[in-house]
Amino acid sequence: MKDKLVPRLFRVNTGSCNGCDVEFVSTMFAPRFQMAPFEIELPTTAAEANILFITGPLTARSESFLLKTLSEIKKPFVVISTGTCSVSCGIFRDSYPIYGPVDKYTTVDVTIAGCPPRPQAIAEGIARAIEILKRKVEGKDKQEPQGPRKKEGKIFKNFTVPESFRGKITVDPGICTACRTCEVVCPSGAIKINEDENGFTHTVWHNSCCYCGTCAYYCPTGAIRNTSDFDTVRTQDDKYSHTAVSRIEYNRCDRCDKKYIRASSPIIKKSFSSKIENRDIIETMCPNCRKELTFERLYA
Amino acid sequence: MNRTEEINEYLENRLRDKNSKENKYSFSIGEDSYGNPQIKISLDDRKDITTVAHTIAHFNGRCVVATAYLNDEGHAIVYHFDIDGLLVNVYLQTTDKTTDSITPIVSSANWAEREIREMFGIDTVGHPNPERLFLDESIEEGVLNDFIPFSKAATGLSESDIQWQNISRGGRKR
Repeated sequence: MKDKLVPRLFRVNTGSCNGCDVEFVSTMFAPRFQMAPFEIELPTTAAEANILFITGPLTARSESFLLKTLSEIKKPFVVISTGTCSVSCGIFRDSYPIYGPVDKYTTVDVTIAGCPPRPQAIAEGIARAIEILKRKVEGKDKQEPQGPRKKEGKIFKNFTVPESFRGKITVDPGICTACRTCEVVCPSGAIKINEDENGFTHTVWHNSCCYCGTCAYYCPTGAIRNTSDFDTVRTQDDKYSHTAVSRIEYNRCDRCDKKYIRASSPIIKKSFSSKIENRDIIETMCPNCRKELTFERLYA
Repeated sequence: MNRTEEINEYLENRLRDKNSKENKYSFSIGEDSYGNPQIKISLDDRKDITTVAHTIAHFNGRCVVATAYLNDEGHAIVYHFDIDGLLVNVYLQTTDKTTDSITPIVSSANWAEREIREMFGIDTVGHPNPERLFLDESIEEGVLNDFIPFSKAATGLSESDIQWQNISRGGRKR
């Protein structure tokens, strides 16, 4: 009979702040995160391991440690890239001592974004890595099922977080005016706003986001905010598609037919009283026509 | 006579031009946002930093930190000393990437000067241990001279651009 596959996990810190490592320790040893059934062993050398758990943005100084580990570990093995730093370098991208992200050096299988990721996300990531490892050992890694994973497969269902928790970013395109404030203030370069002829595309890349909430703090309309969602585990194939994309379309002015961005309803609420007459023109006309109309009404 | 006046007098006796009878430095007293007094000294001649260091040593002060930055003439170096709670900030200008080390006089400047050396490539002449402090051997000395500001990195081609190109290509890798 074939021996049962024992997951042996080896952790490498490539210049991490230790945030992810602390979360990893709590994930592995706190009973509430339910890691015991996986029977994971933690060997002291990489040569005995079959799961590589990498944290950190890969600094110049830690490069040799990663290369040494990669030379020692035996195939087949699975690589988990943990934390926003490791996945995309996050806030450290483009700094002088950063050689990362880690996928430049090795094939990454599972990415867990977060700064640091929730223990539940780490547990989920390790569970998924074990599945991939099983497939690799059986030689089936070529027939990896495509598409997003079914929700039922998650270890953690209905898990609540505190109210102040800052999770994945969401944008309400109905009240966003594409003012680019979030794009400017984002410390980790996770937000891009692209303009085309019909409007704007607002993209948030969850794998680069450090979940600081600066965008939500500065957003003048309250369109961008943190949710309580911490489902950040993805396979490497989804590294660049782990995004939140929203469209902000131009409006056509009722009067002059010019394109304009509709005034945001929270701003209108703040600026005008509810008793204002011709309230609808604020939303259906471009700023220029509104100015002219107001002028005519007052002085014509 | 309070301490700031004492320090100024001590410096004046040593840093006054003998011919013109003018001071070779500017001296001003201010306070930080908490109301703590602090002294700002700007040196005309960068060689006078050793005299300032002797002054600090005389008043039993220590070097808190030292930093450098690029400007039009070369590098500005700023030493921050502490004399029993009184902050003394000393500015000097170097055009040829060299400065006299004050570590032999004020030993607490040791690591700060080594950091300036590796980050800006400024030669600290007379430093007892002119080795790298923490910058990796694979990175060239004076790396912050070529430092790209965040705004430039955000507009020029950078690692960020490459990553974002992948995202705009529909998400699939390469």
